[in-house]
Amino acid sequence: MRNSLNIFLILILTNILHSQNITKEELLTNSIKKLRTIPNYTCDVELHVDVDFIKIGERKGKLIFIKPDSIKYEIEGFALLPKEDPLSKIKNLSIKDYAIIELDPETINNELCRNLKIIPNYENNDIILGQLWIDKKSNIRKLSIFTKEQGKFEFLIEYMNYKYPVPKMITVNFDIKDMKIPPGMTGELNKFYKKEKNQKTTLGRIYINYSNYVFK
Amino acid sequence: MLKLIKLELFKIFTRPRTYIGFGAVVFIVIAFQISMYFQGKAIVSFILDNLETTFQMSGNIINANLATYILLNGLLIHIPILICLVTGDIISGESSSGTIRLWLQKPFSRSKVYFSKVISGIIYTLLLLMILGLFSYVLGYFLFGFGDLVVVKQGITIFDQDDLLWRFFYAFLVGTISMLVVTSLSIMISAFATNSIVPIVGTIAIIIVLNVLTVLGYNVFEPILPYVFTTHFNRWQLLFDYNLDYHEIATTIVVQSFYIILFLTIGLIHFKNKDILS
Repeated sequence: MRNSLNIFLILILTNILHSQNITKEELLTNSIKKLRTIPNYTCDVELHVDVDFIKIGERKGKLIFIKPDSIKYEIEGFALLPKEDPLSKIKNLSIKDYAIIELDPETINNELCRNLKIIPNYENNDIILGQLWIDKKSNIRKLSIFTKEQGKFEFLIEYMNYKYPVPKMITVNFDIKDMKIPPGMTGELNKFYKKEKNQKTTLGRIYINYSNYVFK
Repeated sequence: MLKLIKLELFKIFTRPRTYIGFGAVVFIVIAFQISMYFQGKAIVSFILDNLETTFQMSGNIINANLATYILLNGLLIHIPILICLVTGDIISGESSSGTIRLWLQKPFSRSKVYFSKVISGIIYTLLLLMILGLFSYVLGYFLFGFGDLVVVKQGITIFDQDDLLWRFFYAFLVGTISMLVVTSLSIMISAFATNSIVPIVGTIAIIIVLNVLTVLGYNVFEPILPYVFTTHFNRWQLLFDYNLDYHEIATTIVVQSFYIILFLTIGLIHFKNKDILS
């Protein structure tokens, strides 16, 4: 009994030491490689948009993933979907184009993660700045990216217990500017004469739940 | 009474001006939906530009529901004019032609004659709105199909297709009450006038003046605006709030019903005492 406990502890320690020992470049390469192993699949998705000035019910549908990074949503009715797919973005990352800085580890969803910051070496890169929190299994638990076109996005990712690193739930946090619509367009003509507030930025969230994966 | 209503309806529907209203509604719907067919995406994109930088949108945003919703906004400007063309003439037309004398010599009470005209005016108004709603919905269905409705009003609300039919029904009902205020106002003025120009132009002028005051004099007239009937012309939009404000909807219905009763009562009192000999 004592022997087996010792072996178990040694295995865990080896695993931790191994994950700590690999370099930040290797860690990121491992994460990317792992993401690239994901085969074509379909799954069910449930989307919930949480933005102050948008009222929309939960949307359900299907997601079809085709390698290398094509994602198609089949959703009934009108839906607002995240413009960025975090995992595709990382999958296509070329490490040599970025300088990687390792910061202090942080705990994300009860998982101790190594914390990497990536800064592009070239100006024309779409990503201006990125930060990744990677767990010991080389899964990206949290990702924060600033892009030239879409601004800042933050993704919190929970994984399925599958062979492939496919998400169980992704929470997308983003900044969004409040809508300023000409009152003539909304029929609220008297709004012209009400004091207009400055267009403020609010925090928006999209929660995406994934289930019933079918790998092909 | 039924005979009187039939006769009034016969008179309304044998006048060419009645069909101006129907023709205009059909033309407005066709013209609007064709422009939406070709330019709808650009218009929607202009409104939702802010969202397009953050979200990827999926689904049919330009559809029969959106077309009908936008067209309903026409209630505020176009439909009152078309209503007045017919209902403004309903009593004054007979006064100017002299047939009112013949009518009132028949063994029908003046109240019955008056209400037969009011009911005929209401039927015409209802028909006009039904044609607007149904034609817009049916043509929209053939051009764009159905889909969820995106309403831009104090933010963006997206209604599921399944959640829309009842909203449209009640929105049309509230919109119809607004238009019945116009009908009753024009009938009231018609009871006073001896020619058709006064009630038609008078009703339109009153609506325009009140609309202008609502917009330009918002700060000055704000306390009384909730009691002005034109303020309620676009209150059918309350039915497209995510969380319905029942109190506001009830207030709108009560205020407008009050005006309908007031205008019709004033019209009736004057009509009953109207001097038809001079």
